Amino acid sequence: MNFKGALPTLILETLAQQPCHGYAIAQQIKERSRGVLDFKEGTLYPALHKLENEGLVESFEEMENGRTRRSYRITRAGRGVLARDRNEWRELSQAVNAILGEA
Amino acid sequence: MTDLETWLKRATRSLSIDSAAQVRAEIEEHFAASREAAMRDGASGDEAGCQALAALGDAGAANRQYRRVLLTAREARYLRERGWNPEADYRHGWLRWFVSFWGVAAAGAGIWAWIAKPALSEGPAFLTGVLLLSAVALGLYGLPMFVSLFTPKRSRIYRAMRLAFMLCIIILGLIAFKPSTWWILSVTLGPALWAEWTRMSIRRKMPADRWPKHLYL
Repeated sequence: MNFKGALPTLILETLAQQPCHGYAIAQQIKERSRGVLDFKEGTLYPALHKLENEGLVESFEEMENGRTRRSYRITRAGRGVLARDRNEWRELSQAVNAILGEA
Repeated sequence: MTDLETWLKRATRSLSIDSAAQVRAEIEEHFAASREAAMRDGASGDEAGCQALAALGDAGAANRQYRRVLLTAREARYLRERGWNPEADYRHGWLRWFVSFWGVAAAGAGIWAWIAKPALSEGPAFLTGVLLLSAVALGLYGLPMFVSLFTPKRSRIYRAMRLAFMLCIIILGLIAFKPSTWWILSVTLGPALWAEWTRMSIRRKMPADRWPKHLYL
């Protein structure tokens, strides 16, 4: 399913649960959507960099199984944007449901 | 050359050395995690590698997205070659006097030309316009010498004013000059606009707290 514009919001939502690294973010989005939201994982990092440039997420290094990995966590500004995006999405989906429900 | 190496070469095309290294590190890390997961699910080493690579998607598409958010080689070179510190350079008193003198002189002459319009036989409007615009340009470009603009909010307002001024100059130039001479406009304003475009792109790609001082202007 094409959800290009929603990817940053989904990343913020995933990171709002807990900080994690890129691969885990991709897997969580796929698992939580039961495989419906499948996307090319190479496009995840540009989205993460954009969020980082905007100050919505921050990256840090951590050790996992003897390997240094770059992980990401949501910032306070990121939580604010996520709350706004959630409201917008709720309103949009209610509006679309209202129209589709009439058909 | 491995398939992953080919993918990385395409995905990092035109990126700066630092950006390319960053992409390489994160994709290699991602690829290793993805490959391990596939092997845990029973795939052979080769199959797992193919699956992990397929999951990354098109390297060209990734490259286009990376170039929108990470510094390209050209932008990194721009930053390296223009590493001046306006805060230090603008402290020279003579520079302030120079700008003030010519700014006031241009404004004074422009106002005089405006008042004396009927007395001037040829091109009074053009002369007045050029003098007043010169005064505004000197005021605008000299402003950072007198006011500290090195905060994100102040610099945003300043840049918006300067961009509006540049657009005014372009529009006035298009009106004042014949189409056959527009090439003069493109030659004189083109480099300035190109530099402005590059700086806008760099600002978008870097958090404000990492900007060198000259990017605030």
